[in-house]
Amino acid sequence: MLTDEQLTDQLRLAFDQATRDITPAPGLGAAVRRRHRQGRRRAGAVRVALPVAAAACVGGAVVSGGGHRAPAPNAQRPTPSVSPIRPVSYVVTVPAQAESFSCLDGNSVPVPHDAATWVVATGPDDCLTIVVRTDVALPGSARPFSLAGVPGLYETKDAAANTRTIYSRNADGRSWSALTVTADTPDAKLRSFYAPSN
Amino acid sequence: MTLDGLGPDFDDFVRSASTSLLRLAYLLTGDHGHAEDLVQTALLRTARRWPSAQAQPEAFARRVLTNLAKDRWRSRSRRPVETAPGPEPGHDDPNGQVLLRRTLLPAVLRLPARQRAVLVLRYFEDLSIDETATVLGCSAGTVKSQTHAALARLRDLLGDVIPTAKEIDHAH
Repeated sequence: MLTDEQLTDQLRLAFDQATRDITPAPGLGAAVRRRHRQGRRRAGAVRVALPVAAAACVGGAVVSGGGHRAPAPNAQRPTPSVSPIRPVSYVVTVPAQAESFSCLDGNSVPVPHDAATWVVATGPDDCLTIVVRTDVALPGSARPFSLAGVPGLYETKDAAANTRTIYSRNADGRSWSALTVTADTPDAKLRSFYAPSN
Repeated sequence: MTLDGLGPDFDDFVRSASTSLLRLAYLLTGDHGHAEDLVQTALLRTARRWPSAQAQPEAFARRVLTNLAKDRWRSRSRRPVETAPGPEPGHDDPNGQVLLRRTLLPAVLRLPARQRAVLVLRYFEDLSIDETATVLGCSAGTVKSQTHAALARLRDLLGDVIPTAKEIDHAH
């Protein structure tokens, strides 16, 4: 059996070997500065926009944080360097004809306290109830969900509540927005709720 | 001072620290793409706190990065991790040391987040027990016990791959 010292010596060698070819992409500092500047501008914009957003809720509004996430530097780099990852993020939007709905059937869609519930007209005689939460963690049970033209989504299903919840990454790159609809809602109706934010 | 509130010191910091931060992130996540994403986020948070972080920016960024990696680990604990291939074992590996190193990193990636972080901070970053405790926000005693548990778990995971101490000494 190896002693602790021998095992940790092997660990140091393994760590060094695994990382010796890993170098950051050129322009990392510039990308961080760019995101930092955008964040400062967005923070200023939010202070101005909050009173306006409150008024806009009557007719529909953007319900998730927007803004741009700076792309990771993609300049040419030496091999084997790290591929830039730009997780796609979205703003979940509610169309203008949507209304905040206070008499939702609680048996069909459970409504958490922090959720915003909307009824959206999707046709002349067709409405869709959606529940949007804008700052949630991605559950471990979420599975990648393929929606044409909207990559990077995840989905969970709740058979007991007969709902499906679609998770999209917010512009901050960490938190997620959750859009809950009834389980039989066609995918085509979901696409209009997502606007790319990066 | 520039319009974004960051001076040239920030550029110097990014230049000097980004490689070690990226390597640390890779060992914590086992995934190249997520490592770069975590580093960018950690640097961004350091930039936002630059007035207070600039005294020890690398320590600040390292702590942010470690916490981000732990958060990510929690949310992705059921998904497979990417592991980097190590050197292929060859004929000049009679005692299995190359094979051992090749299997060590995947085994480390299977450890619980805190055990993995303890090993990486202590044996890759060469932090002391107290420094590791500061980064992880725990006591020195916890670092010691987590190190002990991590090494024991590694032995379990590696099983027969581990050569004996005698074989290691003989190879040297």
